[in-house]
Amino acid sequence: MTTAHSPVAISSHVAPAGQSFSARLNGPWHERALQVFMGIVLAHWAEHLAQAFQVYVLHWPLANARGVLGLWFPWLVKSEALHYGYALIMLVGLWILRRGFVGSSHTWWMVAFWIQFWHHIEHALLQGQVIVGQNLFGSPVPMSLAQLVIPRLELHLIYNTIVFIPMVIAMYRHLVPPEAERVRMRCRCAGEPRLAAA
Amino acid sequence: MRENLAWPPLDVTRSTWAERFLAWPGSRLVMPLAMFALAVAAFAVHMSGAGAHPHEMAAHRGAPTRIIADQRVGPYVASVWTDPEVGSGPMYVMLEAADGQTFTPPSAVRVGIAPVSGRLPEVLHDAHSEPMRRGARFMTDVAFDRAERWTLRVLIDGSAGGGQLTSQVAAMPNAAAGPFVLVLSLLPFLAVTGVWWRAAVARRRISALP
Repeated sequence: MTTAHSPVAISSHVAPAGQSFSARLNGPWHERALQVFMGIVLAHWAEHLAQAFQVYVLHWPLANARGVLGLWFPWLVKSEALHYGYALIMLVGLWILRRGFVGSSHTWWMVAFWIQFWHHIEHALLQGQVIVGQNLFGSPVPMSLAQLVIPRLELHLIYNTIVFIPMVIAMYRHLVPPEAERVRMRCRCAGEPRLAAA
Repeated sequence: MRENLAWPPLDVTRSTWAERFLAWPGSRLVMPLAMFALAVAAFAVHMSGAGAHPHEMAAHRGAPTRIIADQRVGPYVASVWTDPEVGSGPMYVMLEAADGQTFTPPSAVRVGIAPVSGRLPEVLHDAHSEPMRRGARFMTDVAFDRAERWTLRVLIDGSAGGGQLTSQVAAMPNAAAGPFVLVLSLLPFLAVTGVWWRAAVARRRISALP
């Protein structure tokens, strides 16, 4: 029987034959998958950065400040599709990559997941009101629950921020883990496990 | 003999409710099924055209507040909702039949705005009708050019009768957080750069170990 940090176990990173797709995603492919996922997350933030730049530096009217994608595809910004799609991608990404995290990084990653899960429920509520044709609280437009407390544009940014913060903490704990957690990791995100421990 | 590396072992040192849920065998089915169902629902909504509903952006634009509540005007009971931001202010006029009468839609609803200070003349905006299951909803976008108090007039005309509603509303600067949003949007890039740099340093240190 070998342990997770033995040379035999490490060799499985290189030759993952027989592993399920999910196990590969959370093992030998975890580092690359996280990079892609983080790329998507940062692309979304880049859209907000571009929009803020258009409003506060270029002084464009808010209606014209549609980020980068929105300049070429205005319908993306005007419909719920983009926001809902991103919320869904975030939720799926957080879920399928969770098993690569161990210890405290796993805890922080799951905190991000559950916050995103609630964010997604809010989007589902909006969609539901459109489908049913009846809005909550007698409002003329679909309403989310958090809008009752934070009724302005910033709500979207707040949601993304409170998901992003635990996600970054999880990434940090995952990439720079304590030794006790590093030897339990199945991926190479924190570098090669120390063979000396075997 | 090699250890089965398909899934990491459960961390028995932690037992939060989230961990217990994850340890439940059914949890592996619940989440994929729920996500699949939500994705199908979202796709269906989008394909049906509802995804392009003009007011779906409410969650990202700000919720309107009611400035006139259930006020009798002619044969209608009217409510007026708005999200008065500088630049763009959506106005919603919600109408229902008064006293159990049969609802007859008005032929025209207009919204007039003028600064209370009197520095600009009143500008009238024609509101367009939007589908409703009960009563009627009229919507228009008005332009507040400055954060100040504005006089609002809603004019309703129709074969069943009509009337006028008046109120005042304070336009606010859009995106109240202001340039803070710019800083906030920059932070994720700084955070990821910091994490990446710290991880690179840690990796170099580990690879230098004997």
